[in-house]
Amino acid sequence: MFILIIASCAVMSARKVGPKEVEFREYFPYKYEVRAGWGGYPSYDADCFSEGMFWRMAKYDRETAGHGDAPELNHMYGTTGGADYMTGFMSAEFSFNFRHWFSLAIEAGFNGMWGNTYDKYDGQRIGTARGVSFAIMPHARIYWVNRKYVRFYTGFGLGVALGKYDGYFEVYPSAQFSPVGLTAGKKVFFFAEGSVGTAYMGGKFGVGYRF
Amino acid sequence: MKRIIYIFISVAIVASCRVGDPEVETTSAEEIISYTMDKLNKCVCIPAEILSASIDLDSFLKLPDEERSVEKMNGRHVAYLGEDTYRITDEKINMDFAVFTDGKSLCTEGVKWKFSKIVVRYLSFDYYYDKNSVHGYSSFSYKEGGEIEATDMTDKTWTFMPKEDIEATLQQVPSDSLHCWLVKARCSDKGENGLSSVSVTSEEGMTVREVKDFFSQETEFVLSGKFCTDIYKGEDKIDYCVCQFRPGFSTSYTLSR
Repeated sequence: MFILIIASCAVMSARKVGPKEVEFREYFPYKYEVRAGWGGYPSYDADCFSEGMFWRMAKYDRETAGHGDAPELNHMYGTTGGADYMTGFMSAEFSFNFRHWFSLAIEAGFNGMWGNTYDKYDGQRIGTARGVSFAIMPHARIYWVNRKYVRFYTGFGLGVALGKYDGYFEVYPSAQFSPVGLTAGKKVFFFAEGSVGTAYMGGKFGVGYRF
Repeated sequence: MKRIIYIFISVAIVASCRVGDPEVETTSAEEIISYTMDKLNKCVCIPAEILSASIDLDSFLKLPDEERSVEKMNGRHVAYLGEDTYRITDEKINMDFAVFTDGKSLCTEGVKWKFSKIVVRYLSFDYYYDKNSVHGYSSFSYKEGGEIEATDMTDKTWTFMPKEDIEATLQQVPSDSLHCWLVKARCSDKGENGLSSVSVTSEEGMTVREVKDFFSQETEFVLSGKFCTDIYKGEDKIDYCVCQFRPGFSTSYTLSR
């Protein structure tokens, strides 16, 4: 379905430009954009990493998970974690402005994760667990307000992500939906968008350059 | 413009998400108690149940056909699987095992009965102990099976030998209950990174009595005595737990934490 939408938009964009497009190009002659941004709360990684669904379980808990309720020495005296930290989703992208209402972008971003590990026996810190998740996603954006300095859009992306934490490695689909986003500026611009998805949840902010 | 960019970069650098609970979870007293109870069950309670079932089966097999009934097995079910092998199930505690008798009586000194993997799924810890029980696991098994040997019939003593690091001798003690066992047992466990444990009954042993409820006629086991677990890392003892059982009283625990 996603490919169908992208293909339809691309085909429509390939048609002969109308007067509205011509008018837009007069004050917006930019074919390409680059952006760098910092996303909001990486909820998917937080759920997996912090709650131990599979990141945490990679080392300490996965070995004993599923063994039922019988207590085991390795689990009682193994390692455990405390607070976990994440950088948030940091990304860069390159966009193609096909029409005043449509652009396609390719985005790559990462979220760094780390947390201290402790000896469960006495709570002493014994090390640091580190990991990173990396996502690459094509994005389609539909612009529904196109002024000289301000544009509003809705965007959606679908790609692939991979994550590595403490020796555990996983590849999984990545999806992101931004119901509202805006850019402010001309050649150099700021952008902000609200988004939900596997990469992050909430606001994303950044700067970009058009050429 | 430049100022805004610098602010943005500064915020991005210093800001990060903290997720998860910062509190570090250490080994708790409840975990140590649960672990000790697990060992108690494996080397004291379930062997007593197995011996009770086996002795009942031994008596049952000596009866003529017309006298054999479920009551003679104290509510347990018996199925003959052929070749001197019987399957015993106890629905009260979801116990299930098969035993090979070799056509011999378990009350003859030197006789060994072999049992297959035994699986027990408790309904509740309270079934075995007084009401002050700790929530624990609900199932375990002796995966490789083992043997029961009639060691000394003068003292009415049997040895329970699963193919795990467990030694238990059970002496049948006269009492007004269905069965009463004096159990002396020891088991050990090994983990990674030098972790190990040793669990033993006190020198005097523990008493396990199988009693029947007056009204429901359901049986339950009553414990008395002391059971200890010591946990080691390498040569150092890092934790211990001593459980004291007295019928009619709450179980008392003495712990290192």
